[in-house]
Formats: sequence, structure tokens, C-alpha cells
Amino acid sequence: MRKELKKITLFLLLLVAAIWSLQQAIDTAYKKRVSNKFTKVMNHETDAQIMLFGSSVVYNHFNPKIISSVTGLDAYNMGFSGLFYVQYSGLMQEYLSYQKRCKVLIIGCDFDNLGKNEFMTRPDLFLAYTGNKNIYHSFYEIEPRKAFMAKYVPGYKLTLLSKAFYAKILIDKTVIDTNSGYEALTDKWEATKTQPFNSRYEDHIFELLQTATKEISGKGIKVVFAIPPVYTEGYKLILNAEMIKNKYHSLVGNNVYFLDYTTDSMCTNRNYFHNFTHLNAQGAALFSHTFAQDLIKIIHE
Amino acid sequence: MLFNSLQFLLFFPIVTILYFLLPHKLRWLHLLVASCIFYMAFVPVYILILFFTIVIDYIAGIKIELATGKKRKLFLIVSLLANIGVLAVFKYYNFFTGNLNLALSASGSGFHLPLLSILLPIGLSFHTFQAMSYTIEVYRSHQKAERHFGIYALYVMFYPQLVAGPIERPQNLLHQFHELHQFNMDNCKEGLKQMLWGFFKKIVIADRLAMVVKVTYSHSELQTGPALAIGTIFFAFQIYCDFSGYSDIAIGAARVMGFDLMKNFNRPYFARSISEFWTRWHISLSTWFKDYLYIPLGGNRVSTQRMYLNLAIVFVVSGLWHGANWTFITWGALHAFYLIFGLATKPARVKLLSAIGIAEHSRVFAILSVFSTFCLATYAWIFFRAADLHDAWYISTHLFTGWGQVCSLHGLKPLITAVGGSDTIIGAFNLTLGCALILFLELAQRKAAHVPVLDLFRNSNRLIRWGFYYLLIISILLIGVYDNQEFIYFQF
Repeated sequence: MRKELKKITLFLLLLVAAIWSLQQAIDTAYKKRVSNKFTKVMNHETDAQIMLFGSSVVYNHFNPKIISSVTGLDAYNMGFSGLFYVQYSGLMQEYLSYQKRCKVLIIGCDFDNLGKNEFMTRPDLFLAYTGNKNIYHSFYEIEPRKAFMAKYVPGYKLTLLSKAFYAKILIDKTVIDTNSGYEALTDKWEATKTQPFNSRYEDHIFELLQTATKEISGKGIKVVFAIPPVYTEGYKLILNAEMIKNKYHSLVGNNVYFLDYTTDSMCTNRNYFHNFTHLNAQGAALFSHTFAQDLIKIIHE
Repeated sequence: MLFNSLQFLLFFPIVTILYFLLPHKLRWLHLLVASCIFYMAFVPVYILILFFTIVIDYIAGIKIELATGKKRKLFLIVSLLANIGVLAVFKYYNFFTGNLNLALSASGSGFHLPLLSILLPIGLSFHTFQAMSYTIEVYRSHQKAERHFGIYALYVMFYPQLVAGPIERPQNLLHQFHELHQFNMDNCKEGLKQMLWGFFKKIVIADRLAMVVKVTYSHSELQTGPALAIGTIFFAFQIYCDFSGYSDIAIGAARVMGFDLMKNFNRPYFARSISEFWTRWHISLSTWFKDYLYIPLGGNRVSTQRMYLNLAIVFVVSGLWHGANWTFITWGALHAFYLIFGLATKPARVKLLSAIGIAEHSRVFAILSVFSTFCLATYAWIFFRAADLHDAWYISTHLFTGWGQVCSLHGLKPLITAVGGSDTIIGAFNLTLGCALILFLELAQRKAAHVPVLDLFRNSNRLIRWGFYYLLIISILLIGVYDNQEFIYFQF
């Protein structure tokens, strides 16, 4: 019996070692082979004077080329569709841990930014980095059990890897980034929600943002919260829009600014929009220009 | 609770360890509570239906044993009616009522019977059939009535085989609950190995093939003949790996605790005829029908025409057992046709073979027989998998169209694109992986004709044996599909 138990223990130890090694090899392969704006921050390769973080309202609205040409400072768009503050905060913290040139950090305020999804959006971006404490915290905030097991239970992470994850490793999926992280939406009008709704909001997430804002502004980096234009008809549907705007407004202070474009004249012109909350390419170009003009004032303040 | 879930990975070792730690007199209670937890993880309230039939069958069993003459039959009928009644209400009422309503509408009648909005209790057909086999065997005096209510309840509810079999017989299982099972390292190892092979078949093969099958069958009108053929062949292996995988996990889990459950599959796609196929596929169900329906109907000790009728009845009922849908009935009827046609043409086929010089025991004949049996069984799966008869007819009539484009792979493009979620590389990868897994399965099973697949390297050194186990475990982690896919047979 004792001999059998020894054999079983050895079998299990070797199994755990094999799985752990495989997991490390896959993570390493991903980090080495995959190159996109997420991995570039994780590899400490991206740095700019103006950095923009947020969801699709950043990714599809703020054109860094226009912002750079108006402000004279180089800019980079770090927006990801479907990622709200609690999920991209880890990436933002990682960036702040190594940056040397950042003067202005812009947080694009989706009305859902202070809420969270039930599940991680784009987990394939995050899985290779569960060993990084900033990324792990973001993951843990959204799916604590999954995050814990992905980090500490050998083999569990392998069951979460999607075909997209493998495809990125096996096939050269280097993203050609000629627009500094920005991508415009088409002019085709695609309205979605038609019923009034409350945007997601959690006090706990607002407190996390509040703490982070104090830390960033304390380092001498200007923090700008910006709510991009929302089509008037769509804005009316967001029942708690004013409450959320007030929350951002309450963060304004030393080195912290709030820009609200929901009352801008372009909000009444549907030709600028792709749907209720997203500008099309024409709208994004016009908005980026307007925003850059406002940003100059903040930079020179 | 699904076998392929994290809950089960915790549930199984806890239940097993506690089982061996507890004194023998408490083990039945422990297993019964565990089985209730296992079952209630699906729809908790349906456990009341189980208790209803358990109480009736428990009392009926004792009454049958104590009664004499016609009373014995009366108690048996009460038990069978209770079980079939539950099946009739929960599984068949809406099907028959819906068809009756259609007939009434066609005849111009405005009368309609109401339909019930109820969910089918999981594994209903399995545990009712197991319960019925108990009262029938007591009636036939092949089994003594169980006096211990808890042990009888456990016979019906034993968690490894509760929701998808194997459908056990009381002679094989009941006495095992009274016996003391000491922890046995060999049982533990063999059980775990069988579970590992079951998990591999379910999570790696069945669920990966399901991706292709789902695409093919949900939008069959968009697919070409070759794509429909691939989807159908993949389904043949999906359902085999799904169901036999479940059986392996069930048998393995029971084995770890020292219980011996009956074999449910024996490499069915190596069968040389449809009648042999049915001695290898879902053995616990086919023997159930043989013992409790075919033989009571007269079996083959009747006139040829009557035997054909008996076969037709058994297979149509078997189709209906699988689901209340015309597709399952057609599937059963098709198998009955295969068998009857095979029996009726056997003398002519023997003559034909000797005329063209192929010996019945030759290798060529064996290969041709296995291939033709596989083709027939796979063709019948179309009716089993399709959503309705219209879809099944479309697929079976378009199966042989568009083969001219196969060489250029153009005919498979819609399938590859759909499987890959518009990414053709991922689609092609999934298809290739599916083919490779089927090949691996068949080669492994062919090589392991008389031993479990996991014992293929029994006589090799430790490095090779362990390497093979590691390969399977890592494959489960790495290429397994983890979206908690239910087992196909749960719906029955």
C-alpha cells in the first residue's frame, strides 16, 4: 500500500510539473509572439505624452493623429471595446508603473464605465498575464473564482484558452498599428437600444477610480475625464446619466479635469453617429479636433 | 450535476473518501444523500417524481413477492402503470396531444386538447426502466423483493448511473449495496483510468465534433453534400463518444467505490451487421428490450412474419424511448427495416457471395461488412440528429450532391467558414482536428480489442504508460471544449 501511495504521489507531482511547464511555455510563447497594443504595454514598449484609456468610446472616438497635430504632443489610444474601468485599470496601472513621458492621462467615460460586466471581456488578452499583479487584480474584480484558479490551480488556465488565443500564437497575428491604437466606425447607422435603461454603476468601482485618480494626479500627470458626444435621442434613454456625470464631476480638483460633450451641438446631428453612443468616422474626426482644442487649454493651464 | 463540471471534480473525491471512511451500516445513507445532491443539481423539484415511483415500486415489489395468483400480476401492473404513467405525462403527453390536435384540425374539428408546459425530468427514461426491471424480475421470481427502503431507493438513484445509465438489473446491482466494499487499489486505478478515457471521449472528441455537427445541422440548407456527409459522420462519432464517455465515467466512478456496473458499449462501429451493432451499442437498453419486450412478444420462436413484426415493434418503441418526436420513431423504424431486410435477404446474399468468390470469413468480407454497417448506422443517425423530419429528409436527399467540388475544397468552404466563426484557418483546424481525433479513437479501439484502451500500454515500461496518461490529461486540458455541454442522452 505504501509503495502504491508513493507511486501515486510521484505520478501526481510529475503531472503537476508537466502541466505547470506547459502553461509557462504557452504564456511565454504568447508574450513573445503576439504583438498588439495590450502586449506592448505589458512589455513596457508604449509610452506617449497623451495616453487615452477606456472602452470603445475611446477606441473609436479619439483620433491620436488629430490630437497630436493640434496639441503638438504625441498621443496613443489605449481603448478596447467592451472594457470598462475595472477591467482596464490593471493595464493602466501597469503603464503608469513604467511610463516616463506621460503628461496627460485621458479616461474616456462610457456611461457604463463605473459598472462591470458579469464576465471578462476579451479574456484572451489577459490570460497570459495572470502572474502580473495589476492584471490579476482587474481579473479578480470581475471573476474572482476564475482569476484565483487561473493563477493558482495548475491546468485550470489551459481550459480557459480560446481558439483565438491559440490562433494568435500559432498564426502570426501581429496587429499593424498605423493609427496609434485608434479605429473609426463606419457611417452606417446601427441603433441598438430603444427602451430607457440605467447604466451600470457600482460605488465600489467609483471609489477605486477615485483612489487611482489621486495617485496619478499626485505624480504630476493631468487626469482628464471626458464624456464623448451621445446622440440626443440615445442620451434621453439613459435614466441615470446625470447621476453618473455628477460622479465624474465630483473628482475634479488639482490636476483633475472633466469635459462633457453630451450637450455639444454635434449630438443633435445623426450624420455624425454610428449608433446612439458611438460616433462614425466623420463624427470622430470632428470630435477629436474639438477635444484637442479643449485639451490645449488644460495642457497650458 | 454534470460529470464534466468543476462541481463533480470536487463532489466525486469527497463522496468516495467519505464512503470508505464511514462504517458499512451508514454507507447506503451516505450514497443516497450524495445521489440526491447529484440529481437535485439539475431541477431540484423533480426528485419528488423519483420518490413517487420509488415508493410505489418498493411497495409493489414486496406485495408481488407476498401475493399469489392473479394478485401478483395486479401489483406488477400497478407498478408498471405508475412508471409508464410518469413517462406518459412528462415525456409523451405533449407529443401525442400535439399530433392528435393536428389530426383534429385536419378533420375540421375545432376541438383541441391543451398542451402542458413542463420540462422533461433529466434521465427519466433511464431510471423508470431500471425501476421497471426490478418489479418485473421480482414478478418472475428472479429477484427477491428488497425490504430495506433506503437500499431500494439507492438502487434507483445510485448517482453514477442515475441520469444516463447503464440501465442496471436488480440481480447485478442490488446485492452490491449490501456487501462491504474495502478500499482496493486495483479497483481504484482501473476505475480512474476508465473515467479518464470517458472524460477524453466526452470533452475532447464529442464536444469538439459537436461544433461541426451543430453548424451542419442548424443550417443544413447552406451546406453542400460533402459538408452534410462530414457533419453526419462526425455526429456518429460525437454521439458514440458522448454516450459511451458518460458510461465510462459512470462505470469508472462506481468501480472506484468497489461497484461493478454492466458494460454498455463494445466498439459498436466495428460491428459487421446491424444485428451485431445492437449487441454492441447501448447494451443495457438493447438487452432490456430483448428481455422485457422482444421475448415476451414471442421473440424469434414464432412465425417469420410475426418475428418481423416483433422486431418492428421493439425498434419503434426503442425510437420512442429516445424521444417523443417522429425523427426518433423514424430512426427506430429504419433500424427495424435494416434488420428485417437483412434477415429476409440473407440466403440470397450468401448465394451471391459464393457466386463472386468472397468467403464469409475472409478479410475482404469483414472490411466490407464493417464499412456497410457503419454506413447504414450513420445514415440512420441523420433522423436521430435532425430537428424534424423535413430537415432529415433534406439532408438525406442532398447528401450525394455537390461532390464534384470536393477536390478544390470549394464545396467545404461554407462549412469551414461557419465552423471557424468566419475564420477559415480556425475552421479548417477544427475540421482537421476532428478527423484526427476520430482516427485516433478508431485506431486505439482497434488495437485494444480485448482490453480497455487505457491498458494499451499495460506491458510497456512506466515512462510509456505514464506518458500516455499524461498525454490524455493534457489533451483534455488543452484541446477539450469547456462550455459545460450536456450529455446528449440526458434528454432521454
